[in-house]
Amino acid sequence: MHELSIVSSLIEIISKDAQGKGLREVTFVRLVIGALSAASPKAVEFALEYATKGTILEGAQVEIAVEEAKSRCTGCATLFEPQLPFLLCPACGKPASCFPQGRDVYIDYYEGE
Amino acid sequence: MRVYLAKKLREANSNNAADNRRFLEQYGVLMVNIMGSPGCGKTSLLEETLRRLSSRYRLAVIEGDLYTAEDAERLKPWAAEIVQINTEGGCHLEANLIGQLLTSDSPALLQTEMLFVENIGNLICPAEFDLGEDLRVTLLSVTEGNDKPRKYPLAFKEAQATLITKTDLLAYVNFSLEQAMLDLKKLNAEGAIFPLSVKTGEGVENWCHWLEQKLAEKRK
Repeated sequence: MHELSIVSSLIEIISKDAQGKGLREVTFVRLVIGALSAASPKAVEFALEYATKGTILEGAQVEIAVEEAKSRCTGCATLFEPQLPFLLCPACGKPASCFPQGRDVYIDYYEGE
Repeated sequence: MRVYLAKKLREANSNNAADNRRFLEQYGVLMVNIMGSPGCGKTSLLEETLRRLSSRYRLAVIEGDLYTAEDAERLKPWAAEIVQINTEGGCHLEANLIGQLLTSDSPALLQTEMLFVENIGNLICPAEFDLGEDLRVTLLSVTEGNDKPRKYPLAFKEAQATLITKTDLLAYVNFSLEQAMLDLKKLNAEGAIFPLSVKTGEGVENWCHWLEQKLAEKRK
């Protein structure tokens, strides 16, 4: 359940930013979860429901988008969508080690008033 | 009002890990993050590693467990310094927990040469949180089955070494060492692989020698 620490960090970042902008409530959050981030969207949703209680995010609608993973081969520079379990480059067979997309969880934007 | 942040949620952890890495660099301490399932032999491995290396090096351990200080007690005879972290349900260690211990106020951990961190027994979450370690080491015991690298690839993919433990039990379990090595190489071409048994001592020398080499490289 490391999703709880992801969610705690989301609440901390948005609360700080929203308070700095003088917002009273946050109504919407768009969260992007990388396909190779090892975070489960369902577990994030579950954690959000409880962890936002009593915060500026309470009651906010959260949209979760899953972003496909992309890897740039460090051997032959091919850009490809790595497939589990081995995440091999389809052109040269080298295991992927560089992920420009899909390895992170990030906040795209939020809305508040 | 819409606010675009494009902010990574593990960024705080990555920043803390970078701080830890810089701090350890200053003191020349080699930090080793030990990961693996519950029961794969992390504490037994540390016990044997510390026993073999403690006469030549100053060694420290940060012991992560959900509850109890039993593992720290086991390792006490061999470690110059040992700290227990109880996460009380938390499934992984984070860089700030380590960072709190690496301050000039508690110099004992920093006046060592190798600092082993025994992570929480879990093959999923610990792999996602950089602690600032020099070496990430994942254990795979033969009793778990050789399919684990394929089932939990991320835990093995970014490790500098995989230790295949409890090899003394190979004759009694359905574990293909050959298949496990093939899969690990396919996932992580550069990672070292050490099959070993702390019970018979087989293979432990190679692992200890590798650690000594890595320490020498860091201190060069």
